[in-house]
Amino acid sequence: MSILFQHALDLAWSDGRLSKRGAILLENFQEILELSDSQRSVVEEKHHLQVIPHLIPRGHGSGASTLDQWMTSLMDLDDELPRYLISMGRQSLETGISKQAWIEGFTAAERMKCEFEFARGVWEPEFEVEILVWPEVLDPVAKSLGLLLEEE
Amino acid sequence: MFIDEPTEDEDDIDPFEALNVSTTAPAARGASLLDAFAEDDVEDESSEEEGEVIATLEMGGMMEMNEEIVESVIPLSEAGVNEEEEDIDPFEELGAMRPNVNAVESTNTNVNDALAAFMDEDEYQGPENTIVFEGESATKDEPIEQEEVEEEIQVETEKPRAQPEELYQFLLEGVWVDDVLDPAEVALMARKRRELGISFETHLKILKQILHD
Repeated sequence: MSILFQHALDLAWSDGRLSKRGAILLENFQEILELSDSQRSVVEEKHHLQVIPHLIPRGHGSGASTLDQWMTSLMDLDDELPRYLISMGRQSLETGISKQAWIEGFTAAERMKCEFEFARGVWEPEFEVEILVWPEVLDPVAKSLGLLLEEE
Repeated sequence: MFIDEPTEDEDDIDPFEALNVSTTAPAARGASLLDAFAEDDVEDESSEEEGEVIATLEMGGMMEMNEEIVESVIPLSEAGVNEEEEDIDPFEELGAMRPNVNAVESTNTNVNDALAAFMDEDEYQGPENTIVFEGESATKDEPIEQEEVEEEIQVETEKPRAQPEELYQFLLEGVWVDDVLDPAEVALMARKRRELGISFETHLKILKQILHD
């Protein structure tokens, strides 16, 4: 399951409603992440079952703007993204990375085409890694790696 | 007059003769006694020789001797024992079948034959009795054995050894047993990659096979 697309759904439904713009952004993000319809449906079904029933509608889909901003920030990382993912991989190893955390982090990095860098941060101890403070846009990845508590 | 005082009549009587005691010196008498013992030994030796001769006799002879002795003491005719009674067959008297001596002999021969057969089996028969399979000849046993040994060695050497990737996968699966990866395990796996000549790309491929597929 892609933690990135799950985060995008959370943002799009943040005020309890999904706008048309939010739905279009999700379609675009699916293409960016190169998710298949079946892969997306797995993520979306889980979200519909576990998250949406607990949402209290308090707007008209304003989450689309938040989603757009987050997507733009993520795309803007560009060349910085591999460095951050390497650093996050190394930090997760030092704190003790679980199997599930590895799978989710690696899959997310794979969606961002940085899986090799992330893996080097975890599996190559001789590879010198600069420890960086990751940007807020990568918080979903940090949460999946156990570097950030859910509440934070 | 005293009681013990000898009289003249009493002096004429030889007390040794009266008591029937020898008057010869003990030494001289001892020699004669020794001679007498020597004569007794000779007699004993002769009797021992006779005993040895008797001992070498067969039991039947002893029995005949005993019978002769018995007959000399009590005649057989008087004792009520006839020669005919000696010939009575006890098996006929009891109405039992006499054991067939010939049959026993035949069974003995059968047993002997069976044992002889075993003996024959135990004996080395040579290459003529060895099992010969198709396409083989019994005369070239040793080369066949050598070939078999060589084949076994070849099979052992050709046994599919664990490929480095398989070995690495095995180790990688072990790393995740406790569900948490730590730096020591990662260092171990990095060292194993160098030892086994596994690239990092291959490592990722194996890892995906283990965890993602």
